[in-house]
Amino acid sequence: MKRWLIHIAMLWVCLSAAANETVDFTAIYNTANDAYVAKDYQSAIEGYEQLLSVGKVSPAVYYNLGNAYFRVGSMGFAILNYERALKLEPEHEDAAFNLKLANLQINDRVEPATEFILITWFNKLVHGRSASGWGIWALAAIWLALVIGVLYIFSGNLALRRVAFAFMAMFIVGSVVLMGFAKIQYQYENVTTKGIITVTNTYVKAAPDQSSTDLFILREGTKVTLMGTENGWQKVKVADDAGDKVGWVREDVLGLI
Amino acid sequence: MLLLLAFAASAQTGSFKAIVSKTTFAENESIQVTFSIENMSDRNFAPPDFRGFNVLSGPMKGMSNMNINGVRTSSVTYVYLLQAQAPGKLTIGPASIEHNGKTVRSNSITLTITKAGSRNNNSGGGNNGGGNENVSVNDYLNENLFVRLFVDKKEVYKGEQVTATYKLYRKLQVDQYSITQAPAFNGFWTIDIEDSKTIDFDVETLNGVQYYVATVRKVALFAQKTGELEIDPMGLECMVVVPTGGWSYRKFQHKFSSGKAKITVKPLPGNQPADFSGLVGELDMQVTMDKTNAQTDDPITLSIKYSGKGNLKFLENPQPELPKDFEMFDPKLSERSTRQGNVVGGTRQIDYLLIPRRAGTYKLPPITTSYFDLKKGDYVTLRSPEIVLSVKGESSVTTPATTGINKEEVELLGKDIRYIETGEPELTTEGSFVMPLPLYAGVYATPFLLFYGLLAFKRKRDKELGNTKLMKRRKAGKVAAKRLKQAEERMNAQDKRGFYDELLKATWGYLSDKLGIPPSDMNKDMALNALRARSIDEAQLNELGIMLDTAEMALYAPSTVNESLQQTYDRATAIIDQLENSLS
Repeated sequence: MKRWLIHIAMLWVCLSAAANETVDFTAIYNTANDAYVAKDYQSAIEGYEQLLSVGKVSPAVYYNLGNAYFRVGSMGFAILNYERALKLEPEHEDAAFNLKLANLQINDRVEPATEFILITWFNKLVHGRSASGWGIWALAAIWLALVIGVLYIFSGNLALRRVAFAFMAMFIVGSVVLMGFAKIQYQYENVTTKGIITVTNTYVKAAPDQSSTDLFILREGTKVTLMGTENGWQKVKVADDAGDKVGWVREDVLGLI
Repeated sequence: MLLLLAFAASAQTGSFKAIVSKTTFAENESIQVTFSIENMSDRNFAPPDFRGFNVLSGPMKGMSNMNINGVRTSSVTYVYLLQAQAPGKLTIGPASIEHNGKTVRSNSITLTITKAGSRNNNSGGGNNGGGNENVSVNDYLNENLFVRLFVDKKEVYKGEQVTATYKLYRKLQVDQYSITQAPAFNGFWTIDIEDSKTIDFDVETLNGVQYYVATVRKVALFAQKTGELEIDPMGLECMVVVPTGGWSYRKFQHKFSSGKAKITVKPLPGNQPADFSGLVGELDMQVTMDKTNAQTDDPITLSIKYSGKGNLKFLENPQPELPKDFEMFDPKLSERSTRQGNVVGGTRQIDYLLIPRRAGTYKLPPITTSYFDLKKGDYVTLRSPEIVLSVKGESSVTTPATTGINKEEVELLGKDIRYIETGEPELTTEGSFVMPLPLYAGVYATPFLLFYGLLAFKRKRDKELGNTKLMKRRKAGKVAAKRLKQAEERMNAQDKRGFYDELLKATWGYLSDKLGIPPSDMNKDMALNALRARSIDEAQLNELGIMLDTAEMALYAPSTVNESLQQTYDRATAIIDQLENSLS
């Protein structure tokens, strides 16, 4: 009994500490917003970046940071942060709108490949909820399946048992599907597959080596697919009219979405 | 050559002598007489009267100063060209000069002149000058006025420079000259080194004889094909002026030609680089950019400067590989040829005007040019360093973003971005999940475990439940026997109530265990029905009914029962025995 009390007390301390921190971060966020309003975009950028540097994220922070970068003319970073905001919140309408505007400002635009409509729907469905959200739903479904399972086990009525079994199976399958969504979304949230060029332009090399051949030039704001790293170099793929182009760029010219 | 030397007079080391090449001449042969004065002044030189001779030309005065082993020698020569008037013995008298106030005379020479017919040395007369002049004059002219072709190399690589020099040698006075046959130099690329319109003569010694020498033409040749190549001869025509004594002179037209020369042209080695420029010699390349930090639309000059030896005209203009973001104009060329001695070279500058249209950091890839280095005897590739160029600013000329824009985007172009989000930021920790993954896995797996646990529990309980019934059923007979024994004891003790109670317990207990009906649900009808369902015949059931009725009657209304305890007991044991047999 005493142990329990100690555990609860510790948990409470941790939670209150976390709550205090949240207050501080919110203050930073608000200060950055004030700087933006005062057209001090550089300070605003510093404020938002400070939040991101300690791992505190939200679609709003990314979106506002994107706006600040847009105002100072750093289109690469603006696009990067709009994309990040949209990754966290695909239905963020303002971020989508501003991203479109930012994309109009850059030189080389890589048109996104048109994908099969079902895939688009599927992505919209899966990315519409966070991995945590899907995870909770999957848990709820599996526990509900258990409740129905208990009914199935202990009921003496054969008809009731049959219905219970069918529902239990349905909830288990449903939970597995939700779990799949959670996994896809978790992957999407935690594994970066796209990047944005954040320097004015960069030469794409044939190999992860400064002395290797220049293949082509990528410009600020271009979205690339990441294909692996080696010694500080990132293999990237760009969709082009003439098919996909693949090459290596230094990691520091890229911002990962 | 036979020299007849005679010292007529000498003062210290000085000498004054008359020289002829031989003492016997044909009648129509020309005779050259040279009066040579060494280390003496030629003041008041008086030729002999040349009686019996016609003076064809002369005097031609030559002077030279030489310094041999510290001894200074000055010499003056007077040359006359004579022709005998008639055969026979003729004497050229002494000439005279005044030296230190004294008159000094040269030796006299006696010549034998033979008849013209007797010694007809017809040389065929290829290059006969004046048609009215005879062969011996031509010989004389050829000896004293000729053109030679010199080639500095006999064997060259294709494209290597070989220098051809045409030199005019004369001892005679030439009034004018013209080139009748200009060499064509087929198979060569030519660059003239000297092609003077006016000829300046210098004194030069050829085979020990002094001549006035002038270079008529000097040309650098670059063979364009391999194999044996011929360098064409040059033909000249001169007006030779021959003084005939006093103020009078005669003019002869003289035509002559240089020989031709042969050179061997070797092909270049086979390992020729792809970017070989064709230049054979030496080359240096410098690639510069007038600025490496530029604004968009701000012109930049890229200069490629070649300098070297050889035929720079062979060089092709390299095409710089620049990104599409640059506008590049046709290059401006400036060439200058230079010479180091006879070696032809030069500089060539190629200026490209570039206009960057987009901001960015660009690289000008190295420009390479290969040439054949004669000193190394191998190909050399020149490679300029990579130039990094930084361009800043927005271009006013192009709006690249407007390419491939759709209607919706055109509308967007004029719009401004939407305002920031304010209010609660709802910060989360990056990459966080609802709970740590292992915990999540545990919470997710728990229902499965619980389900299987419950399922197992149910099965076990069912199993256990099933076992008790069986056991009870099996043990029913023994339990009943035990109870009947107790009833018998009660009977012996004459405890009627106790007896009936035990008897009923034994019977009901037996039926309950055997039929699997809980004692609470047990009654007579249920028991009889259950037994009937197990095909027990009616007689036994009847007997059981009577026994139960009797026992209960005896328990609750003892007076109405006539049967003795022993009878009831026997009946009960008999029925249980029978049921035990039928139901086992």
